[in-house]
Amino acid sequence: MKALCWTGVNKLAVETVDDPEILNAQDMIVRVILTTSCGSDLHLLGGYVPTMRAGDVLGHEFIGEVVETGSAVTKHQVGDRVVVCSFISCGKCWYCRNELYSLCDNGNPNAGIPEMLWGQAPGGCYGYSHALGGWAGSHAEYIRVPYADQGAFPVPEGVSNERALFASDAAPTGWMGADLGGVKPGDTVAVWGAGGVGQMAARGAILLGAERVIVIDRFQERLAQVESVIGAETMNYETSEVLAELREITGGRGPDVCIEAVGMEAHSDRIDYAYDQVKQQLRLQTDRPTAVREAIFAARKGGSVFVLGVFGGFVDKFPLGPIMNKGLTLRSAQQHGHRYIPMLLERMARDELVTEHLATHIMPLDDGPQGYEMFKEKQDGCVRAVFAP
Amino acid sequence: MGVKTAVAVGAVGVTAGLVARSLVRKKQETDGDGRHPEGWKAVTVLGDAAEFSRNGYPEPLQRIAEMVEVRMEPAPGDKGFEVHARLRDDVKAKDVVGDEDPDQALRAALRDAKQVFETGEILRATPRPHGHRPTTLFGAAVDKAEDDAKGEGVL
Repeated sequence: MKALCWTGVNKLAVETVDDPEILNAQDMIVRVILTTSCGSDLHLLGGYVPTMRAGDVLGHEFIGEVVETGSAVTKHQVGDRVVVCSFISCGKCWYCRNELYSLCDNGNPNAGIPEMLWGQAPGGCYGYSHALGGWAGSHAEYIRVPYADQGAFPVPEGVSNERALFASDAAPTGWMGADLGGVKPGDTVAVWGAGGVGQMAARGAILLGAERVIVIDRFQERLAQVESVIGAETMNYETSEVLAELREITGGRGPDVCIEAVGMEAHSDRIDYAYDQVKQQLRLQTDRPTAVREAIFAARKGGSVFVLGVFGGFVDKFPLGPIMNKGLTLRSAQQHGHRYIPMLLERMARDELVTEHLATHIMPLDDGPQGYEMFKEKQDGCVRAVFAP
Repeated sequence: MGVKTAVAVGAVGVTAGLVARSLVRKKQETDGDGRHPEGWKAVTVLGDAAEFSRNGYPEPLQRIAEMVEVRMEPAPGDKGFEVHARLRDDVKAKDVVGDEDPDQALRAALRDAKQVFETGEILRATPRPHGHRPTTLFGAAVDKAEDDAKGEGVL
């Protein structure tokens, strides 16, 4: 089959690879209908995640059709249209039973690698380095889905592929930021990043009852989507004094909940951006936490900050003082998608959650390298490059 | 404070820190991430503890049972039970696991026994689809890390 493979730092190629096989009784094989690029892929592409191997198949956010099931799969049949959570979770361990699915004890066969990096291992993730299991990704014609009864969800009739696709990762990740960030009716919520996940976090906050939601970015076409589709307010940080304007909006308090949806390659116009760039390029720190710092400074006393962006290692000049002295709650996670996906698909069916506008560029898998170039450089207003294998 | 004074103060500070660190390390030997002083490794398993040890342990742990000492305890709250194990001094590991590193064998056995008990099977990672794998030093390091992953880590 054809697959889009990482071949080195900032290098991708479409190659012919072996078809996936059923290896465990709980596996199934899915024919990929649509698979999307994600901002977190850019960290892999750029070499910021050191456990990638040339030849790895990328992609973790996808929708497809079941073509083969293992003997222990009971919830799915050949021909079913399913969306699959990007994180691989067994559904049986203590973490899964407590709806902390991305922390699954059994979904990552390479647990020893992240244990050395982080002290404990999260679950596995498709196409996301050997630290997260080395699982082959979805930018391919077919994909093996382990623990299929846990990780795959039937797509309701009437929900388009282009909409349901984002129930795999962007929508549940964003929703989790609003939910576990503690958004309540009447809250003011600020979201850093107007990509797919940031937009979904903003929509989640609105649906959870937030009174005002402000999304911060610099790409005008993304901010325009936020206003026209998501229904939130926007702030362009290149033309705004973000902290001062957030204080003004909130009567001097600061947002109740701040959600960071940017990650380890954050950009800003401030001096700390240059500082972080130099340290990251010299490998003196692994990640650039620019947006996290700003979110912490912005949050109201006693408020909460949720870090949705992907971080891999260590950062410098982390503002622990404001967290302690303002009494903030800082929380983060890879997505616990299994707890949200069925609910999100229902909301998609009711048109409460619209996502297809994120798929600004749909193209054949053969155009994958060009698609990622467009996505990375934000060419032609690209929000997500989506591939149809 | 002049520049020379500041540099001197800094140098004294760094030296004092290094001396302090060396004194601490003499007592502790590691940064705190070494093996348990008595060799215990542990996993917490969700389920019925009696079922776990009925008719011997799940196969991955049973395979090396004669070379390890196993201790089981209830985990706090609703977390299930803890399985602690360590290598026995009076049994030659080589007789049980051959040339396999005994510490690695124990880690892998604990992980696999927990997984079989909780999910019914050991999740297989390979063979997996992949593109061309060029021979490089970095690639070899990733391959080695993955080959050893189940037996390594902080477990």
